[in-house]
Amino acid sequence: MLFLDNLGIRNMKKSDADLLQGTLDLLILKTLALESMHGYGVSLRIQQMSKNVLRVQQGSLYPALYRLEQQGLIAYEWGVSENGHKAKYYSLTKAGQRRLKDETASWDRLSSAVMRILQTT
Amino acid sequence: MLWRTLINLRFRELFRRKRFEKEMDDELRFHLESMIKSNIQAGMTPKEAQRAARLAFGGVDQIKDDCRDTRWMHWLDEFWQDLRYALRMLSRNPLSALITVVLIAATIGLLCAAYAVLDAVVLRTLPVPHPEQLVVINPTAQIDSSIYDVLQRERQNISQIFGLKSLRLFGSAAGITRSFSIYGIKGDYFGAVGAVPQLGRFLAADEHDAVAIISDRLWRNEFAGAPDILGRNMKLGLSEVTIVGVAHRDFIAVEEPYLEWDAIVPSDIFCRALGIKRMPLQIVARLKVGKKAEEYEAQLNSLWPALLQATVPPNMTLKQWGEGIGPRAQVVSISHGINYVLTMQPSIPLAIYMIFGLSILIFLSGCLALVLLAIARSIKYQSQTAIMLAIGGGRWRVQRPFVLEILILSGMGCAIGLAMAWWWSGLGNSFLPDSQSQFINWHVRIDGQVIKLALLMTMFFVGIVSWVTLIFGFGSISSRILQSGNSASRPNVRLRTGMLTLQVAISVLLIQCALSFISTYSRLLHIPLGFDSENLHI
Repeated sequence: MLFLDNLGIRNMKKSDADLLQGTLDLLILKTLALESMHGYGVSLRIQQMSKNVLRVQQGSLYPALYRLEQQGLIAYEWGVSENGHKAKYYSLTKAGQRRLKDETASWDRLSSAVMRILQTT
Repeated sequence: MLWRTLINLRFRELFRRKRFEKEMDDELRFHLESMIKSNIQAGMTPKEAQRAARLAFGGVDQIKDDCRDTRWMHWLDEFWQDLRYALRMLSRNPLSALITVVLIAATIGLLCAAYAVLDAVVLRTLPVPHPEQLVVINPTAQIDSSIYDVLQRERQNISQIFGLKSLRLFGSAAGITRSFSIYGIKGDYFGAVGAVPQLGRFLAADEHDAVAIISDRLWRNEFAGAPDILGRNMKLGLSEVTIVGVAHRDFIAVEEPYLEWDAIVPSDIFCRALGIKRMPLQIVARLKVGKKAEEYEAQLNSLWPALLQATVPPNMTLKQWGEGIGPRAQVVSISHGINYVLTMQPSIPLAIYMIFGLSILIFLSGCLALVLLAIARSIKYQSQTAIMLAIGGGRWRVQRPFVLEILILSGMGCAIGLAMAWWWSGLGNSFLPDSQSQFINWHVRIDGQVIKLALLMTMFFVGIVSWVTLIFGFGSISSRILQSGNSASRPNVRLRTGMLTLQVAISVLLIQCALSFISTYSRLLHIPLGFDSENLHI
């Protein structure tokens, strides 16, 4: 299991940290594109979608959510969770949808390029 | 629109800080409770579930701090924390703060006052278009108007020429009789200096009527700024003149910029007011574009002997005439105001430069004293700084309160220093007798340039002290400082004591110098003249 941990980000070089942070942002945007959900839900959904390969620590998740909100890419409203508690539900804004589209395309290009290199015999 | 969303967000942040904190609490609590519930569903006891969730969740305060750091206004919160910390440090060391403020204020005040005098007397150019083109002919001589008549025809090197003469005359205006500072002019004075009137008109080049232009000061003081001033009469010596214009407040006499004038009249009226036939003049010319004072001087010297010969009065010999006016022509630039007068008195600019140099030395001494103070303080706080760094504080974050502290002290010192400079800059006129001081204005002022200099010095203080703090407060930070305790810090205590002693010694010396300076001023002001100067006029 890979931990997207903020301590890891702190201790690594800035370029690596940027890459990891960008990846986490992309994962959060993608998760919220499917439906609005609270932070705990985002964390579970990433874990489920990655089939337990990726696990987002709270120390990385919440700063990332607040950062994306600051950038106007996601918005929130308070609602009631499935177990009846008050919860903060995040959803993607139009700017967030555009950013997700751009970042997905960029990620596709990058991963395809890396894959092509790795498959070269 | 993204920008509208962002502006709304920033605006809400400013006023909903408590709500932000509460929402963050609620959100993190919800997350933790959801994890506990999930653990219980997985078969753990409530106690185990809670423990496991807390372990997995990590430090809540750290997460909160990271979330706060993402906010646009987190710097405001940090600034407020730093400010409170800096103020706490200041309140713990009031004596050190007082010495620092006094040092900064004294050095800034002294250097700014010295610069203001240097600027007024030596550096500042006349407030007229292209002041570098203005020259005066034989500045120490009073030239007869007959010579002016010849010179104003010789226009190879000059575009405009005028003559003027100042004198104090008794007269009356608005029912008040007193001594007035009057200028008599010949030629296109106002055109040559590019001035426009505040009210009415200026005098024409060939004006012969009994009219006068009055200064803004006279208009406001004697006529209470009356809007119907034009057409009113005033008496000057033997003449009665009609006021036809009011000059702007910043209009100064180019040849004597330190003189507070009251009225300007045509030369004919000036002579009539004095009861004389011919008026000796100070002649000022404006050089043509590209022409130099030396070229004009060479031209005048080529015709000077013939000029003297042609204008010598019947009751004088050529030698006497030449001695009075000058055996040869001398053309001097007046672009820098009274600086040309000082070329005749080189000891005055020398004294001003020396005072300025002395002020720079005192400024450097002040810097040295501040540096020593900063070193002593850095050493004192070394252990505290080491602890802050050890628990994860960034260097800049730890140093910020120190920078803010010196910024506050320097800001206070700068404000007090500027007030001192303003007070000192007015001392120049204190040396003049009362009868003179109303006519003399050296225009020494605390203007934008002086304020810029003060701010520059302030930033220099902040920069140098911050640098010293960084070097001495952070440079030698190591685990040794945290581990060694008193035994390792003993040499630093000795060094700190030595630094403080040296710093106090320099401060005492500087304050003693400043007090001696002020007491010398004070003694000069009260030197008995040996006669009663009351109501005495020259």
